[in-house]
Amino acid sequence: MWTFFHKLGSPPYFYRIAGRLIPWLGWVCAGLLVAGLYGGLVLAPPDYQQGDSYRIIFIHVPSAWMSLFIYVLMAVSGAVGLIWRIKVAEAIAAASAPVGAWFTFLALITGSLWGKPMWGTYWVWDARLTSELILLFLYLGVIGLHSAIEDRRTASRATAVLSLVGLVNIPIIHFSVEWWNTLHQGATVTKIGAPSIDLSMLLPLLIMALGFKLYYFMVLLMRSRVEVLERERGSVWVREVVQTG
Amino acid sequence: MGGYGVYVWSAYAIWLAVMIINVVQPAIKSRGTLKRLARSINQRAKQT
Repeated sequence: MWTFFHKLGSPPYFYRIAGRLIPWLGWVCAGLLVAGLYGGLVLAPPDYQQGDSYRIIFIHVPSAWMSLFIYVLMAVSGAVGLIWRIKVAEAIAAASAPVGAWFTFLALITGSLWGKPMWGTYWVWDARLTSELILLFLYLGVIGLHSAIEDRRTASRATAVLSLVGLVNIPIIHFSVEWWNTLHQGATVTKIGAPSIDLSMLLPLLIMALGFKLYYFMVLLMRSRVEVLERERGSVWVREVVQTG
Repeated sequence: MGGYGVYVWSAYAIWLAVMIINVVQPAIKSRGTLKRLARSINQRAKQT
């Protein structure tokens, strides 16, 4: 197990393994998303209060979960890169930021499209919405800082510190619906006790969430492969990869 | 969609667009990087 992780830390090995994993992740992810969409848009019944508008949940909630998950993963791999100077960890942190920003954007935009018919407004400065918007700004800050520093390793160190500082926002987002009186509804799945959602809706939601996760890992590997190539461009293995195609 | 079609479908359309962008963009970038690296390596090989 440990030798596997040690090997994974070596850029050429990571590059090869990632290249082999990407198509598999892609196909499984596509299957899950199609199944989840079918379950959510066709099989699941309308909500007794919200009618069909609730169907946005199947993309809104997984996007929001991913926005938090990716941030934590980015901060942790940034810290690993900071402490042990592992190049692959730095590349993974750098590759995570844009995907995380996109998922945060999706959570906000699908949420606002859900808010309009249900709350009567696209936006409200409620604790959950505001803290999620701050998360988007954190991601954009990380991306901006990374691209502002020319040397990639220095950039990684700086962004790792920034993302670790921003980590404080994650529990705030998660518990915002409990700590403050928000317009946003409370948790239905990630709470203590049984989820207060029917199985016919919960199942497609979880399938979509799993699909989103695999999608992220696929995009992450695609992006970090490029990142690793760039960072290692002077080395012998990159020359071999480039020449053999 | 019980009168909510505009909201539901536009949410799904935006989602789909973002999902496609995020796969296509790194794929294009990867191809570009490989080409650029190949060029610079070939140039260096010629110089030496």
